[in-house]
Amino acid sequence: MKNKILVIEDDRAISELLCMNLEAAGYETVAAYDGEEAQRLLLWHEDADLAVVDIMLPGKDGFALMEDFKRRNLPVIYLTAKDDVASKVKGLRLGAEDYMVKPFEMLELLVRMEKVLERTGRARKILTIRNIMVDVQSHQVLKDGIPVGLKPMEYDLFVLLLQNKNIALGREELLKRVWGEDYLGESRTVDVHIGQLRKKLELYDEIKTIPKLGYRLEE
Amino acid sequence: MKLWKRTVLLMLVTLLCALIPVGALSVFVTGKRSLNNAAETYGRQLENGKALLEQFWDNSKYEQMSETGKKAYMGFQFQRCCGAGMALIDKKSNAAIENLTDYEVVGIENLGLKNENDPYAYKIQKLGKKYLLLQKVALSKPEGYDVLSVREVTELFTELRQTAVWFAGIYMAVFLIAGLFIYMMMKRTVERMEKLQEVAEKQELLMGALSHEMRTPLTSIIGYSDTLRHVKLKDEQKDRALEHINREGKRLEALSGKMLQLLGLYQNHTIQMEMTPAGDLLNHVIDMEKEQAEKKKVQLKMEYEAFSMKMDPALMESLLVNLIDNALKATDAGGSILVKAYETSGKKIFEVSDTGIGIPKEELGKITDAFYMVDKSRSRKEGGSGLGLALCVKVAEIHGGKLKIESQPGEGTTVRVVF
Repeated sequence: MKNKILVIEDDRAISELLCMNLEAAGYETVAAYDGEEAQRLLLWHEDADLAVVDIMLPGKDGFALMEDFKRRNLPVIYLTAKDDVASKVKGLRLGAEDYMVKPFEMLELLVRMEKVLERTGRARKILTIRNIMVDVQSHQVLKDGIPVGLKPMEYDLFVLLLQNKNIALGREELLKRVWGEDYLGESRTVDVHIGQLRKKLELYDEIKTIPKLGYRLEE
Repeated sequence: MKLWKRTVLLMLVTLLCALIPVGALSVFVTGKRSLNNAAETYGRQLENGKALLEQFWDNSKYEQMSETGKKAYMGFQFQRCCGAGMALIDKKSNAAIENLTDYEVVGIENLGLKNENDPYAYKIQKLGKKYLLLQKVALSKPEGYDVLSVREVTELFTELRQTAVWFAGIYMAVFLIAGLFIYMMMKRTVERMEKLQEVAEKQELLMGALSHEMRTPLTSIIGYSDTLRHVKLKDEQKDRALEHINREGKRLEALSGKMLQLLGLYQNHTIQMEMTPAGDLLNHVIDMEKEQAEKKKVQLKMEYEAFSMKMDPALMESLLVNLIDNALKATDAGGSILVKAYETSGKKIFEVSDTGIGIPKEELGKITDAFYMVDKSRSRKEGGSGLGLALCVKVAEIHGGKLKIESQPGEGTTVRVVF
């Protein structure tokens, strides 16, 4: 099942940008363009897992909406142009899980969202692509119901690609997030592991090499 | 303390510090010189008296006289040679034997002149309100006697005091005038400084608002281009992304154009005033806006009286276009906009009124601030930058005019530019 995300943002362009990226990454999105609409959406979508909220909204602003989110126990990430410390402190004090300032990097937002979902126990436990299913809890990878043996690094790499489905990740990025900041290896390591994944899971077409960028798991 | 107060105070104190010693010194020098002059005059008299007395004194005759005769002789000789203002002092008893002064001689041994034999050496004694110049010389004949000269020099001191008063008066006047000048100068400088500071603050605010206003379209542009690079999108999504990039780019362009216009107005150059008929201006503006109005299905009408005004036509055009644009943004299909130009009681008035959504009363004061928007999402949708009215105010100011805005929420808005 996909995680449902509420996108509350008054600028249509940015709202659409968020939805486009989140849907590509495997989320379901619902958008609201002002405070009152956000309140209505909350009633309709009780099963939402996370809200990405702008602060300066027409009608009720992002801070005022916090009460409604809290009542529904919905984690919130503020995404706003307000970059002063006072606003950040206020946002986090009110109970936001995270606070991001515009202009933002989509990749960073995705990571932060993932972390919030994990923290609040709402992250997807089962990730799937084509005939492959990954159970994040039991660390099991099943292909057509048959377990596939992946080495730890291969497994982490695969999960990372799955979590950022349809989004290209650079070799450096992959290296940093799977092997850690301190890893002294070279980006060839990533290529070798990708090769292994393609072979073991038969995802020759799905794991695409994007020239000059890195790799992308496409669905 | 404020800067200007401190500076004025410091300058005045410096002035005072310079004036007081100079004044005191000049008074002192003048006083000393006139005293010396007096001492010289009276000293010469004393010396003459001494010389005469010594010349006429006959010691052998004096020795043969009886006590009374001696006394009479001495008195006679002294009065003949020395005269008024002098006294003959017996060195032994330190008492005046003959006294032609107006004063009683007491305690003469404490006079303490520097040189007993110099008739020009003097001492000043203050007696009540009077000042006395005392001089003394020892006689060689008869031996054991001094001649004391006592002269009143109160006048000198009064004069001196008057001079001092004059000096003080002049200095005070100079001081006051200088103080006034310094104060005026400082006040002007400080005022100018404050004005500059205000402009700087305004510019800073403007820059802050500008950077915020630029950030939103930039977020979209960067976000979409990044998405296009990294994310596998469907073709229609790609088109949407490109569309957004295009639109936000245009918004930035419009923003920077308006911004440049505003900055250009702040620098006040390339303004060319010429007599222009109001009718020409209105016709031109209506031509420019007709298409947009038709697209929105809003009626655009005009009325004008025949008068001419000295103006920069390009700037005035942009003012009216801005006002009509605003009216168009606020008016939904079916509404109407009326542009008027007329003269009443010597004032030339351009007026743009619409039947749009109007402006809430509490917002009226703020709408001419740069980047202020009453309804952000609405004006963004309509492509507003929040700079239009700020620009209008500036253009009106350049022409010596004012913007007057009246509005009734739900019924419409009337903007008058009054010259």
